[in-house]
This record gives sequence, C-alpha cells and structure tokens, in this order.
Amino acid sequence: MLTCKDVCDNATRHIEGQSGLWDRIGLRFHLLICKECRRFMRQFRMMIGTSAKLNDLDQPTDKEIDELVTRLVSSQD
Amino acid sequence: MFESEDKLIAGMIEGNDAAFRVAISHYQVSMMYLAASLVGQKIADEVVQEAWFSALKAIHKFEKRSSLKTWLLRIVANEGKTRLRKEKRMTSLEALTEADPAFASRFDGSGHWNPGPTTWDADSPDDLLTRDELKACMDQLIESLPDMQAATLNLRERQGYALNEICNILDVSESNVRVLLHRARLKLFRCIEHFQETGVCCTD
Repeated sequence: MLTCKDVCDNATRHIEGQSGLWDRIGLRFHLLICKECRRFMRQFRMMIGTSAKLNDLDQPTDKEIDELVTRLVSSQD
Repeated sequence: MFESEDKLIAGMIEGNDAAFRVAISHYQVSMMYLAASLVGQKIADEVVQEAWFSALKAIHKFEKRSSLKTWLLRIVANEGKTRLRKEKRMTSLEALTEADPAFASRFDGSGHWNPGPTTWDADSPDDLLTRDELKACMDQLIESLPDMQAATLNLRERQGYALNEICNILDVSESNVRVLLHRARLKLFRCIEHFQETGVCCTD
C-alpha cells in the first residue's frame, strides 16, 4: 500500500511515464482515497506547466550573429 | 539554402559564413539557456562561444547519431562542466540527488502528510503567473538552483527534451536525471506554496 510520502517521492516518475503497471494502479487507488495527494499531484502538475512558461531569452540580433561569425571564421584561419 | 540539417552541417564543415549564421540563429538561444543554467548568466556568453569554437573544430567528426542541436548542447554541457570544475563550483551529484530535508519533514512516521499541501489560489499555470511577483520569484529560484538541477529542469521544462536525451546531453544516468529533475521540481513546488501562503518570495 502506497503512503503519501511514496506518492510525493515518485511524482516525477509517474508524470514522466516511468512507473510500472502495479505502481500506476497503486497510485490510482491511493488518489481515490487521499484528497491531500490528489491536491499535491494536481498542484505539482500545475507547477510543471508554470515553469515551462517563464522568461524567454531574446533571439540574437543580426549584429551579434555577425560578430560571432567573424570570430568563428577567424578562429579557423 | 540549408533546407536540411545535412546541408547545414556540410556548409559548416566547408566554413561557409551563411551556414554559421543559420546555425547560430537556430541554436544560440537553446545553448544560452543551458549554459546560463549550468554556469550562471554572467559567464554563459563565454561558455557558449567556447562551445561554438569546439563544435567547429569537431564538426567534421560529427557522426549524426543525434540531431545537430543535441550534439551542440552536449558540447555546451561539457564546456560548462569544465568551467565549473576549474572554478571549483561543481556540486557533486551525490549532494544534488539527496532527499530534500524540508520536504521529508512534511510527513509523519507512517508516511502521511503532516501538514498536507495547502490549496493554491489558482486553477492553471496561466492563472498562477498572473502575479508578476511570483513569476519573478520563480525566475530567482531557478537561477539559484545548483548547476545540474538547473540544467536538467531547463532541458526538460523549457526545451522539452525527453529524459533519455537529457542523459545524453549531460552525460548522467537516466535515474540521476529523474532524481535531479524531481529535486528541482520539489523546490519550485515549495517556493510556490510559500508564496501562496505568505505573499513573499522564498528567496527573500
């Protein structure tokens, strides 16, 4: 029988699809009876979605690309 | 002009400026993301530039067992790790994969939550990110994560790499990648939970 700690410790393994069949069944059963773990798993997934949406880096400008190309070409000479 | 990766690689081997330009515009941002998460924003530029020099020296030996992008990211990771070792800033994998004591103490002796996770005031990632302070807080936390945890999180969440591809890029086992990712995710989870409870960033 899974404990809440097992659910937490294996959350990434479950989400990444790396759990075996019995682990998946055990997790489903545990989530049916444990509202705290249901909340944890829902919010853990929400956190993953959030971290994918944080600040983006800017594409390099044409000038930056030109400078880097110049350095690369001269390094080959 | 370089509509396929093979043509782009051939152009780079020939030393064609236009090929370098295309490669840089396609891959520089991903390389910068990875370098910044490994060595920090300040010297990420230098690490990426070193990676380009190394890549050009070795491009004629590239065996195409992975995509060009994955190969370039592997070179960035190697350059980054070399730099960290030189500066004695590399954190050991053992330390990075140890259980987080702050999370372990959330459970009682029989493994039940004590206390349980609090309910967040949001229904979706977009909902959570409507608070600029939380967004800034998560950015700060990610910047403060140890090198390999930050790099793993970056490759998985921001760049969408599968765990087996991340092993290849960072040269660590798949089980270590999974643990590094889980530890980083738990820190972010705690950070959001703390912000939800107090309105204050966990890094303040």
